[in-house]
Amino acid sequence: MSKVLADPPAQNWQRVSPKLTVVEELSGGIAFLIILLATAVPLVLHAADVWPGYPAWLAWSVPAVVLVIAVISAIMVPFRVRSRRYALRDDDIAVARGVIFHRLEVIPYGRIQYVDVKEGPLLRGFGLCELQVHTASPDAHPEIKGLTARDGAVLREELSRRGEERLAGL
Amino acid sequence: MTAPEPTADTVETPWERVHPLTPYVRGWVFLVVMIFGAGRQLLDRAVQGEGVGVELRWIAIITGAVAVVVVLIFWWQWRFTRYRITPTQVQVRRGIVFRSERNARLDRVQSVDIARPLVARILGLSELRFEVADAGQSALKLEYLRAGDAEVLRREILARAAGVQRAAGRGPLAASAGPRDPRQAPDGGGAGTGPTAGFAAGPAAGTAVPADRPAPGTAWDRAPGDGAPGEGTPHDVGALGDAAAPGGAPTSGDGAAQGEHAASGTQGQTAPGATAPEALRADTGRQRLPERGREWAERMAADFSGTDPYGTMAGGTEDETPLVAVPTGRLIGSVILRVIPWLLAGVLGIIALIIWAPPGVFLSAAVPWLAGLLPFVWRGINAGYGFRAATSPDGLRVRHGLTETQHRTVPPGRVQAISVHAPLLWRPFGWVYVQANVAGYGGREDRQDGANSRSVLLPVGTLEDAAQVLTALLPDPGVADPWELVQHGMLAKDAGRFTTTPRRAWWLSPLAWRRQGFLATTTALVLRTGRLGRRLVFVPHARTQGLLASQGWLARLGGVADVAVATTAGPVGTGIPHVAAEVAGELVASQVARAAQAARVEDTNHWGARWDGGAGPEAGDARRHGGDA
Repeated sequence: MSKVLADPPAQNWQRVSPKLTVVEELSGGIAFLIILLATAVPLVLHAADVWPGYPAWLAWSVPAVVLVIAVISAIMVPFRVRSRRYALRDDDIAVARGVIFHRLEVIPYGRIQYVDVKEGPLLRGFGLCELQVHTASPDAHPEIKGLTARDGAVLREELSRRGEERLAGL
Repeated sequence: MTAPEPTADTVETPWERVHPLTPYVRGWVFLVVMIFGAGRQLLDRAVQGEGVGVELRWIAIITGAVAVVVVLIFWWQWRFTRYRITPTQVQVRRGIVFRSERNARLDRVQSVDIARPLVARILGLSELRFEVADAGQSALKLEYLRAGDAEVLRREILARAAGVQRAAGRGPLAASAGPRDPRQAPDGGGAGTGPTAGFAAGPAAGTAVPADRPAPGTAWDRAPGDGAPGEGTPHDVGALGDAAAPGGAPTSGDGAAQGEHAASGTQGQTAPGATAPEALRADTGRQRLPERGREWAERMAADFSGTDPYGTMAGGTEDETPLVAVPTGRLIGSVILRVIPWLLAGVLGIIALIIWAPPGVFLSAAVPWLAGLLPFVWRGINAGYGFRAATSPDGLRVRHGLTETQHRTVPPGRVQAISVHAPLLWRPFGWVYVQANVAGYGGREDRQDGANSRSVLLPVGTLEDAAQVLTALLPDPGVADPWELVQHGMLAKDAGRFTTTPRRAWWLSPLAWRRQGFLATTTALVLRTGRLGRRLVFVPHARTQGLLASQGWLARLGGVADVAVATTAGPVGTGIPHVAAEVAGELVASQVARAAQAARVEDTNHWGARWDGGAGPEAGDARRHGGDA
């Protein structure tokens, strides 16, 4: 009975660089570590008898829940990265991602207003970048995260070229 | 491809100034506060019986000095605000210390509005506002101009923006309604909008619905000064449908007469070099003061009594055809009906408070809450008061407003998405309202009426009224029987021609699953949603920015996905929930293909040009896709 949202047909669906997995694991790990430390403060105070009134079960369970979520999302990261894909079709670019929550965005080249290439320190450290396509609509702004820097530059040029060829008014 | 005449480009357009009273319209609050402050000081002293003598002199001197400074600043502000309208651009320069110059390309004008706040109305001024897609953050404003000048400029700008070749000896009207020219009629029929294609024409051909259009409409038709010709024919859908669709070909004699009439009106209007504003200026400039005073008084009286002296608010200027007028009673009724759910919630809250809370709490919560509803009611009535819509060669024109009047023109090619909405409590009355996403309108709030009220193109009306407005916004709906489509779309409970949510996913939207769905016509995607409050949304293929589909795990259990069409920011939502998963993928692929195809065919920057013979190689295609440009 379960039917999955199908990708539109394309010659070559491309995946992003597997190195993105490392970047995502790292950035996710750092974020969870901070949250874990913050939620562990009452536990430490409780253990050190500074705050004995704080219920022990709460002191243990909150960091435990955070830890469980962190582990689950760490397990999910490789699947999520592998699910990121894009395809340059004849008249449009299609971008899809998602393991449990699927999302598909398709933008005709003529509707592309401009293309951004961004890279944070982590992404740059692994030679990756993030490409974002902007249209006149606030809803349609697909992003492709985890392209190699060279691929990103090539793709941006290609999108700009195709966009100009088919440029349409608003 | 339809660049304005090269000669006009080489001629340097002189800079113009806005009206000298402009700063006062903007700064009147400041002035009032100042006078009030000074007056209160004096009064206080007088009442307390303290000596007014020396202080009075000082206060008078200081007030006088401040007044002089303010007047000087205002005068400088005015001196340094200049604008000009070249054949391709509107340019505004302002600023004394920090100068700014803003240019807007005329071929990117999304809409042209005339707004007249209360103070401006008293002074006989108007603000001209352009929404320009590539100007970014905000609209370009010319504030304030003489009301008559603003009206003339509005026409001029729209004519130029439409890419109408005036050198070819055709006014904007003749151009955009090309098929009115008998010679063009045969191939103008290619607009695909014979009498059967326009929304409103549908009823004329089929049922006799328009015959029993509500009386207010007909009353307006007979209003004095209504320039619409064809007295012999009742001004019903036959005439409306024809003239309504800029792409439509009026084949009746009525239409022809109208064409002539309007053409004569157009001649003067588009005479080269904007002679009309010159004339107006000369008119008011050389008169003596008492005469000007009397004229001002007369105009103001006329303005506030509803018969508009500037042509900005009057019904039926010569080149437009009235479509819909909203009677005040219906407007008030509709606004109250919209508040009723909140009132009910309030009553429930009050009951809860009476039961559980001490009386003091009850009063302090209920009173401000009820009072909070009043501004909502007032805003609705104030904004929608005297609402009238008409079609013109420049697109749909709407006028409304009680204290601040608004006069907006939305060219047909600038509408990104249109919704017809019937809230639950309106349905017994058969009322709907029409909203549209127009690039530049959406997103941000402005002044007391937000983006929402600006995008309302019919605050309340019957389904027939809505069809009239749709005809103007989407002249070529891409189906043979648009009126049936609208009726079916709003009234039917079953799927019909629409592809609806599959039965297996009924539990995801137990009320609406039979109704919510989509239908692709040759020019637009039609979305139908809602069971209690009902909505019908049109998104022209040529305006589609992209397609989005998403599917969560619950939706995957039901084997469905949500699909949305991306349009520019605005109040009209363009999503279809719970489309069968296998259909959703196909819909995304085919719809994006249709969008790309439509975008190739259209020259959206000059929507008037394709009727102008100079539309280039795609002219044939453009005509075929005609209206929704």
